[in-house]
Amino acid sequence: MADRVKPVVRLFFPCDDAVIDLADGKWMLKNPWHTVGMPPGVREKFGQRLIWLYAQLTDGVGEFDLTVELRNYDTGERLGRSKPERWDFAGGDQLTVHEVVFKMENVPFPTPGLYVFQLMANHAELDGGAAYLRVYPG
Amino acid sequence: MGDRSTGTFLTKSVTRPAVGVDAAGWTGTSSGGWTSGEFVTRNATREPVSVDCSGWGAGTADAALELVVTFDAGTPPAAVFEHTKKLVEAAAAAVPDLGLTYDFARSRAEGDDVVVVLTPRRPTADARQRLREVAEVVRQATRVPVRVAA
Repeated sequence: MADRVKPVVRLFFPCDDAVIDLADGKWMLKNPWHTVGMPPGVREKFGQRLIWLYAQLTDGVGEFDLTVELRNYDTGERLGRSKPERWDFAGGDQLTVHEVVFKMENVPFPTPGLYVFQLMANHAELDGGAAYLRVYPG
Repeated sequence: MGDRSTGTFLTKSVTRPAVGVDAAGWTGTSSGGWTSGEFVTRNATREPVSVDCSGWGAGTADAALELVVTFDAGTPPAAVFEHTKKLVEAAAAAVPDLGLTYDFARSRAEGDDVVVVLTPRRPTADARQRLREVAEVVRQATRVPVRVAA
């Protein structure tokens, strides 16, 4: 058996808010996104103050550095990548759901268009790890 | 974040209460031996990973060298590779301090042309001007269209 198997992304999307319920330790998510609009009058160079990205990963074995990239889908331009977050997927425990939540602040959207949040492990794109966000002008 | 506007996206959603569905009578459930209860989930949960994206997108204005390469349909693949490799090496060697590297994200096909984009790994304040000079040298030496792109 391989000593390292890339995890598979089962769920991955941006949303308004993500909060852990202290009663049971589970995430509560608010208003998942696929299409959003810049505020009225804003048609370019928009920095979204806060985006929560929620992901569920399974099937991984081994340690991985998880990162998320933001890309402009139309141009292929990479707008940025987060710092690596080390995550350990224990062998024999592939059915466990690993919930990874990114709290993204000041996220740039230079123009309206289609953007992709891409989840990566050790610099490799993960299957199912693309979340698309359509941004309209205000 | 420079002259960027900052704020909060607007979303338009229509929200309703959840649709109630009682599946007790659905196909296959009439036979005995069923167990009712709650699914068990096994989740590994951590605090969220904070990411400050303030510096993201700053590279959008970075200059880059674009080599536009065209070949006849009958050109052997090995010759295509060799010629492109020489072009890239010549451009990179002309300004070694800039550390020109192949830009996977911006390199692309345009019609029948291949656009090889080289981005400075160590950009300097005069990078754009120096890339223009390199572009001219490569253009004259190889007759390959070369441009400096923002």
